Amino acid sequence: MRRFFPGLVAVLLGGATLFAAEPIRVVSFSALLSEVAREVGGDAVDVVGLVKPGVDPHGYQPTPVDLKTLAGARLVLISGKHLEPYVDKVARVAPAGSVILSVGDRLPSLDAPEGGHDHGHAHGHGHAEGESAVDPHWWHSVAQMRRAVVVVRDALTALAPEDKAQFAKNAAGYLARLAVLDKWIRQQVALLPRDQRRLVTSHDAFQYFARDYGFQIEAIEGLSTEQEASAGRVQELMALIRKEGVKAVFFEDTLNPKVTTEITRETGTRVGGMLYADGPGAAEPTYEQMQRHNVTTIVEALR
Amino acid sequence: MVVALLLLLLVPLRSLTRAPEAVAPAPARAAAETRSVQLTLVATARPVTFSVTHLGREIWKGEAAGQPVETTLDLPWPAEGVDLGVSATWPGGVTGALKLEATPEGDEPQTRTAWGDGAVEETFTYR
Ligand SMILES: [Zn+2]
Repeated sequence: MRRFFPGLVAVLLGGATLFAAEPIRVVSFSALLSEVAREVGGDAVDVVGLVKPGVDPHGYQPTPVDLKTLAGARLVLISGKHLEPYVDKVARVAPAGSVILSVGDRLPSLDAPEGGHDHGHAHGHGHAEGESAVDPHWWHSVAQMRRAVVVVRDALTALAPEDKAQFAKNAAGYLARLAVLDKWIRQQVALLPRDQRRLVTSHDAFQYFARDYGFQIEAIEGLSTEQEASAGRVQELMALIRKEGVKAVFFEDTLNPKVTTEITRETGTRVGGMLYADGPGAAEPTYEQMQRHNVTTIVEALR
Repeated sequence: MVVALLLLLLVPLRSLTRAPEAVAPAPARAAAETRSVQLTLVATARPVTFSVTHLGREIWKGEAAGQPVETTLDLPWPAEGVDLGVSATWPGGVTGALKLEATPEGDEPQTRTAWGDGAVEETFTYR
């Protein structure tokens, strides 16, 4: 019996080698984090993206079919900063031993200014009245996106230490592309005088972009697309557009542009174009496409 | 919900749309104050060929061979600050640093630095 043992070990090792290549199943509730996981994980991951490009993440709720895809997941990616009110439900359904990673919660936050955008409505982020809301739209800062890449790289490495070198190489390549993108954005926005970088948008999604690239944001609605604009806020904005001579206002891919159009008709300013606020769109599904589209649209309209 | 929002909004908007016959175009913003600004460029590599842009227009170009070079020009200088684009190349592909100092008249100098291998292309912000 004993002399067969080496052969048995060889068979087991052979089998182990075959099955070691089984990719890590990643389920992502963010179109951008799906991209990050694919870029960093490469062949070593199997990414199921439940919130696809073009879907409004504020309004998304996982269906029973969506939740079934969590079976076998080893890593669950959440955008975080209170964007996903269903995260507890995901935690109940996710397999034991899987890692639920709320990437945004690992990144620095911008707090929405308390009372700074009193739109005359209740906020919808689960925070009590009088508390300041955390802005969930971290991805509009390329620096934040770069931090997110590092967070996902480290999570994948913890799950598959044997692929550490590959994850590091993939992440480095992606980070380098993001650095080029950041430099390009800075060059483009430099075409606009810093005192004319005022963005009037549908909902308050661009504060991280504003902080990095020197803009001031005036949003019709609040931090979530689920929040409603008040007529008072619209009038306040129209007065500001007239006073400051704001050249253009922008609408968003997942929101009806009706109010934006009304504002332009009232004030004589013009529609600057469509922006991707809550992630890339179906027609331009990558992070880089989203940023290049937004920046080109903004610079052309405000120049 | 969106429909309800639009209906709510249309009432006050319609009352506003009735008022004037023609919509006056938005007024132009007051122009930013123009200031005399001294620019000083220092590069560790040599010789460096450089170009400085403001709002997409080249405002200064030249060569620096080790010593600081400087110029003074008038620039609109809003309180929000000014972005200057800097591109430079030098031979050999060696690692070098480029420093651009801006001093608006009456203010302290502000220095920004970039590193590159044979070239830099950066956007610097000054307040
Ligand atoms: Zn949003």
